[in-house]
Amino acid sequence: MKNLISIQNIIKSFKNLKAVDNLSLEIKEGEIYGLLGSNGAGKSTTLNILLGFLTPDSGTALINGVDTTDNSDEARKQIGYIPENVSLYPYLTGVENLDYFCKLNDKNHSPEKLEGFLDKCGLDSEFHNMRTEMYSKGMRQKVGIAIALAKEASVYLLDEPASGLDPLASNELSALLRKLASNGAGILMASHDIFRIRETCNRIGIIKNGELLKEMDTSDVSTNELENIYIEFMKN
Amino acid sequence: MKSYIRVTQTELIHLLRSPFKTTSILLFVIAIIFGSQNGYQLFKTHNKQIISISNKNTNSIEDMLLTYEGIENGTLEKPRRDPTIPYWAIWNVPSHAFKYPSPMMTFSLGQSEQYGYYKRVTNWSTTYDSDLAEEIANPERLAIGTLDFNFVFTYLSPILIIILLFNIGGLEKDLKFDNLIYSSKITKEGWILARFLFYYFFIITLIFILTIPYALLAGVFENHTVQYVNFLLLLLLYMILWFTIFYFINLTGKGSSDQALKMISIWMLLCIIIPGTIHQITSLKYPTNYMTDHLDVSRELSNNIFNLPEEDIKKSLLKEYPFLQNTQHASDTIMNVATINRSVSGLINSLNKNVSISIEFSSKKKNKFIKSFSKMNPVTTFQNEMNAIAETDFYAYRDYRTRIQDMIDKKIELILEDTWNNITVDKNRYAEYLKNFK
Amino acid sequence: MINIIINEWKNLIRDRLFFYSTIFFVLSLSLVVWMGILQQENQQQSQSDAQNHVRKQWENLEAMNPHRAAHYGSFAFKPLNILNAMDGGINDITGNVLQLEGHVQNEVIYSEASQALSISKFGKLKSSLILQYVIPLFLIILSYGSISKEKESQRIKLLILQGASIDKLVNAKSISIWIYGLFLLVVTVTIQSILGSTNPEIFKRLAFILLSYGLYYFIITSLSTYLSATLKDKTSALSSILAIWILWTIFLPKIWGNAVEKVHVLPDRKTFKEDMRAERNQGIDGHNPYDKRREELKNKYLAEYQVDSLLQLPINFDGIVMQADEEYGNLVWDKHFGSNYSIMQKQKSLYQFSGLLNPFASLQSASMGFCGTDMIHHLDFLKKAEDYRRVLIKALNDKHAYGGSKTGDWKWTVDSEFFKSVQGFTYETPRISNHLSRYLIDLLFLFCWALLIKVLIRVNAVKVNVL
Repeated sequence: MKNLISIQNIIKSFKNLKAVDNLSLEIKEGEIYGLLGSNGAGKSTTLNILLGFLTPDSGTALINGVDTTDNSDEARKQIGYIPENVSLYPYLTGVENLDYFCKLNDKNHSPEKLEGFLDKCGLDSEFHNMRTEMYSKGMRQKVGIAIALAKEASVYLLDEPASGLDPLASNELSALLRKLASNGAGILMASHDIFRIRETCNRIGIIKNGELLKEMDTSDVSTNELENIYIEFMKN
Repeated sequence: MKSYIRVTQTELIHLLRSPFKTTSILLFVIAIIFGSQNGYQLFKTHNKQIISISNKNTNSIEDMLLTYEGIENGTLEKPRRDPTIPYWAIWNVPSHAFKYPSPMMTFSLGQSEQYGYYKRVTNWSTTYDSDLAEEIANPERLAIGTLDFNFVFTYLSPILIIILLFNIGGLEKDLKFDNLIYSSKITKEGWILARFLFYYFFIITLIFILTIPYALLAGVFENHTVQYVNFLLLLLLYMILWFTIFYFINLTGKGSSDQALKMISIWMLLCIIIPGTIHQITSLKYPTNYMTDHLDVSRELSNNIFNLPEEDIKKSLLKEYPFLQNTQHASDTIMNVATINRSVSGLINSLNKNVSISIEFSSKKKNKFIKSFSKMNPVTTFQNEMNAIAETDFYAYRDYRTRIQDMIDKKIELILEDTWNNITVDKNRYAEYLKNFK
Repeated sequence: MINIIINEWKNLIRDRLFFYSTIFFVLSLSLVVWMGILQQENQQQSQSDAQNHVRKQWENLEAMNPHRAAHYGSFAFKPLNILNAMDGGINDITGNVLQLEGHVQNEVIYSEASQALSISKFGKLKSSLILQYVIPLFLIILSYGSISKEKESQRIKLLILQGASIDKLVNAKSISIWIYGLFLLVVTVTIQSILGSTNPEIFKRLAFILLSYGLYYFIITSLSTYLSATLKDKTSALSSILAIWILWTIFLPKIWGNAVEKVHVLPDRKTFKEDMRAERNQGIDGHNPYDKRREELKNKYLAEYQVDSLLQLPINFDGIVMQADEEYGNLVWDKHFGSNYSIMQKQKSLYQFSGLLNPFASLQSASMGFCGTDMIHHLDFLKKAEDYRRVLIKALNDKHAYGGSKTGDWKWTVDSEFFKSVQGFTYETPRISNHLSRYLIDLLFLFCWALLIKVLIRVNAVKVNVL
């Protein structure tokens, strides 16, 4: 199985602060990788490098073999992204927001298909045609997920995707991600939510001060064990 | 109280660490200096021109006195315009009406660019002659206007205030720590007021200091100290107006951008829209006067007088100038046509005076209408007050026209009296005439 | 890009404040245009009444000597072009009455500004005031946060990921707001056409007005959106664009205007009059029978008609002298007034060059020019009035010389039939095609600015930090 996401020896500093320190990881097709770390660990910086919004000081980041620095436009075409805070146009409805973002991607879905995406993400149909200024954070998050889904990308990058979601919605998200992975997508999920990472991901990497400290298969650890390992690494 | 003082002291740090604000202050200072310089330049130009004309007049007086000497001792032939005849003697009395510029003009050019400031007065002059029109200038430049102190202060100081004040309370709201401030001992109103007061005193002090050099240069403190003090008080009041408006905006503001937009909108309303609206309404109610009454006097009515028989002209003159009853020609049975011809300007002057009164009356009505909006149009009101202090407003020029009319009347009276008394003008008589127009 | 524009419009239309603001603008513009036309019509009526009044007096002249009629003279009252209702230009500042008489070329006098207290420094509330000052500010308000809000909400990452590049975003957002500016412009021009009189010439001028303002709005919206994209937050963007707006609309026009006067200096009135008088005195003095040049002319005519004295001439020599005096005077006026006009035109050209730094200056110049209320049109009126004066005075002097009277017969008169036969002064605003070349520079600078900002967006879009 080929590597859909490949990070090789990435170093990124901001002034005197090393945000990412010689980071390397590979994510294959059908894999969900959880990048676990506290605030300021380097998770968002890593994601931004993969998204092509930051240029690493050294090292390479590839999306399905495409360098994110040299060919960011091409790389982005293959990425579905779910930010931590999904900001939508308040005067558009959920469907209209989704339609707009799809059209930017040259995807002209029918209204039924668009509503289908929103259903898949767990947004109740009564809210589909309501202006998003009335949405809760969780509802906006679901639209954000739908935007990523509708792109039908091969790689998905998620930044604290379950933040603001209730347990049911979080479970639905995990199920959705697993389904995407089973269809061959490679998924990188950055979070500090140990439980959600354990529930969703196949592999976990613990990151601290920009350094990948440990990688493990989810099947090798329970949630408690994972928590203990994580705290241990964070303390030291 | 101590905390409010501390707030005010900290404001200096806010100011110094904001390149945008410090640059704006610097630009404002440059604009004030540039504006004051323009005002001072025009003040000097006016004075220089007046001195030049006065010197020229002195020279021509000396020439005339020599002419009289030459005629009296027979060394000179009488020229075509015989100066021994009162009419020509008075014609040759150089009498210019000057509107001496006030040194306060340095700070407010006002409407000075709309009017002339020197005029050679003769018995045929009127207060609406073409030489009282504006100095030769590019009309587009006049329409844009000169950047003088008045303009910089009236229109640009509020903008400076906006730049200095727009983020007071707004920045804290943008960065979401405003509640941190308001949850301390200080009140929101007091906190904003303390910061505003810092800028108020800062700007006022800055402007006061900037006016001093030009006030000294122009000689304001010689005779116009009271006007200067009044001017400064006006500046203080004007600043209070804007600070008050902006205070309420900041008190209820939702963030820096919101506050900035409201402030600039208010500026637009008070400086551009309201004055423009009042100007348009005034033009609708009082359209431009094409001065046809005045033109009629200079053409039709003058022509009618010229066509009158001498007897009728004489009767009219005696009626208009009763003092002529006691003159020689009044009691002469023989009509002296030359005397009558040289007196006709007296009748035309009366017609012109009547027309001037009606023109001034319609201007008065128009100005009253404009002033009726003063509460709604504070910017224009302040501007006109500043012009009034600098003697560059409409009324200053109206007073100038009044003085011109007085000079015309004086000339005519002298011509009439001496012509009708068959006076032969010599050097001494000429010197007497000169005293009347010093 | 179309999608982004449509999306922006959806956002705008669904904003209640925007909706009410638009209604407010449309109503205000309608009212302002109507007031402008009403004021125009009132003033035009006054001007027409004044001109007719003066003409009637002329036609009713009975038994007057032609030379005396030359002193009686006439007046030209500056008419208003219908587009004065849109942009008054210099008409409030310049005089409206020009005396046309023998021996003298007068200056135009009696400006509206001299007849009352000062009211507004920026002019009457005509459509140009709103179009030049208010609407650009409103466009700034709409556009200053257009990209900043995407950055602040982090939506921009999503947008870029979906295929919208920064320069596409900036262009599309600025165009969507520009369209709104164009809409208000078209509304104004349409109302002007409906309420005011129209003809092909006015339509042509209105088209150029649309073009000028359209370009300026493009500059404003693009620049504002560009700053929104490149500066760190919307407050910085707003501060910057407002600073630029203030510099362009308030500061620079005055500074440049003052500077231009110092480069090309006009004489003061005293020097101007004295120089003219000095040169004028070199010519024939028609009222001085002892003048030397008069003597020379006399000898010429005596020789031509082979007579010994003026009384023997079959023509009236006084008329000849007056016309010779007039012709010499015309040379002097042409030189001095011509010099002044030439300096003013140089000043205008130099001022127009400020468009390199300040597109607002180009807009104002173009607006006044296309509305027919600028200095070029004013000088055209003065020139045509002076041409008429010369024709009028020549007709009178020719009548005096060849009309049947003899030299020295100052009591000889002509009747009203003659005066009626002398055409009155009429003036038509010149076609814009005659003067278009003078405004091409304004259009060029506006176009260059638009292009410059497009290039800026293109070049700098890649450097925009979306984080």
